[in-house]
Amino acid sequence: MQQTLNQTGWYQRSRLKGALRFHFLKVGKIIAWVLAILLAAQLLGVIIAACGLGDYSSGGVAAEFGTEMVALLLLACMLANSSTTFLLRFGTPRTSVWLSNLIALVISGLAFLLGTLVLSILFNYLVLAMSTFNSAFSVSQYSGSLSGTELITVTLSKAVSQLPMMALWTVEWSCLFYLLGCCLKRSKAITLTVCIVLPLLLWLLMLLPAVRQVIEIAESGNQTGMMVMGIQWLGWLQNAANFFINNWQWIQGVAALVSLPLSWLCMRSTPQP
Amino acid sequence: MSSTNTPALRVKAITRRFGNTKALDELSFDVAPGQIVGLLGRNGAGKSTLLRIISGQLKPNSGEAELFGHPVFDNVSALSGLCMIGDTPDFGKLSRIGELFTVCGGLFPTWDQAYALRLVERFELPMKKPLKGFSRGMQTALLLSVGLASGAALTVFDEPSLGLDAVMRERFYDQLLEERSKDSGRTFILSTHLIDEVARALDSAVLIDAGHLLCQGTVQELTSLYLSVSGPGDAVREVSSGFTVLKEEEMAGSLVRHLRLNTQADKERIQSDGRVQCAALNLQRLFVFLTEEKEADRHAANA
Repeated sequence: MQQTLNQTGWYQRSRLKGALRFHFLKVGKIIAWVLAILLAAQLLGVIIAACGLGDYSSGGVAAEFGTEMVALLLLACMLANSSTTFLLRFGTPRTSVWLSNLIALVISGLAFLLGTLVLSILFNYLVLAMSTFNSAFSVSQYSGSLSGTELITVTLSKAVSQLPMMALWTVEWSCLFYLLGCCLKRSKAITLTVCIVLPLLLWLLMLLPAVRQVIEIAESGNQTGMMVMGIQWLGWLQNAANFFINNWQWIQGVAALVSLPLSWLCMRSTPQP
Repeated sequence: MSSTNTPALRVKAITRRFGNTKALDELSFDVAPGQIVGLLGRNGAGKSTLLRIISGQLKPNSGEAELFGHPVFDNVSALSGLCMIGDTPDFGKLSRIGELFTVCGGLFPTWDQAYALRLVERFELPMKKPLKGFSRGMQTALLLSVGLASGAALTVFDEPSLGLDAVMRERFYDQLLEERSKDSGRTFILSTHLIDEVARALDSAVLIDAGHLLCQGTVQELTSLYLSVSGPGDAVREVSSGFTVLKEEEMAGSLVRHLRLNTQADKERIQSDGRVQCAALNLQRLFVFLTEEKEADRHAANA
């Protein structure tokens, strides 16, 4: 038996293979169900319009990145909690569990993204086909001149070109959400305090001097002073916004990289199950 | 992975605290490979805490556990040969036995799918029924099947009898003995309260109490210097003088004393005395007497 064990590769001895199988079965089912629900919701809209009870307008092809982020957040919390508990109960090494959770999260995010893109393509073409004989259906922009086949072609091309960037964001936010999930498992109270109360406190502390300054100037009746202060504030806000807009990709990327060892350390030291 | 001289499990001075409570206190013992070992102790003795430490779920405050010569915590070399079957059924929200076995086939490099299916039949488990509809006993039986079919070099069962009826428990012990007869070199640790029932399957036992090691050895070694002596009061008192009396009882006019002897020669001498009847002390009674003795010592020390 020891000889057999020695002959197996690290992938199997580390139980990464089994952990990924588990995630494929569990998370895969969840993603499939969510896509099925989205499909059903869209179909319902089409059926309602086809029955003459309303209109159905499609705004072009797009992947559901926003929905994917919400799904990733929820999945990350689930993976850090019940999925980790299940794998650890059988004696799976923590590093293998950590790695499998991250891989599962990234793959499920990408699968969801691609799934929503495929659904969007299918429904846009379906609506386009339906629009030829039913005026309740249309493929048009809310604000813009494009419609029909042209809109689908342009938006499809744009969606496909944005895919690599969205895939990168999926990887980065998977790392960040998984760190959040691990921290919530470790200590819900401290994590929520750090994530919600602390930024609120900092924001208030930042605002206090500004509010004090406004009151002083208002009391002095100095309108010119108030205008100057207002321009200063706008300038400061614009600088801050520009900084984040210009550097956001780097900020996001570095944060995701830093979150990896942090989530490993957090998960490794959490008494679980 | 290791030589045959390396213990399957080595517990080295492990201490674990939960707040002000010391669940384990400088606990040390070894488990040789290829044995079926009973980990016995009262409720709150520290068995489950110990099992969580040796399966890498929990870190000790001090000391170390080693599996096949490798430190346990987050160590692939150590944990790849371990299968831990806990007392809490958790199937990770998988829906059916087939899915669970698919996952186990990936988790355990030595997984035996054919054996797992035979065990499902042996324990009369429904393959198609959703796992969430399983009774407590069926859940336990399924987990036992996973443990047996894992093929792991060290398989640990925490309370393997929970919810199981007597027939299924016997089938489980039979399977354990069958594994031993195969001479596969697998080591099993059973943590249980049903000492008498499991004793027939055990090669050795580790008894712990209040986080300390009470005693360890083969079942024969543990019980060899203990004897239950019964008969007329005078005769029993005479033969038992000079030995520790663990417990004394009066039954139907006879005096019964449970003794700790000093040597095998003492045992033979008493057994040859025609005035009294002798009976071997079973593991369960031994365990009860030793823990009560320890408790009495603790009370005396506190007083």
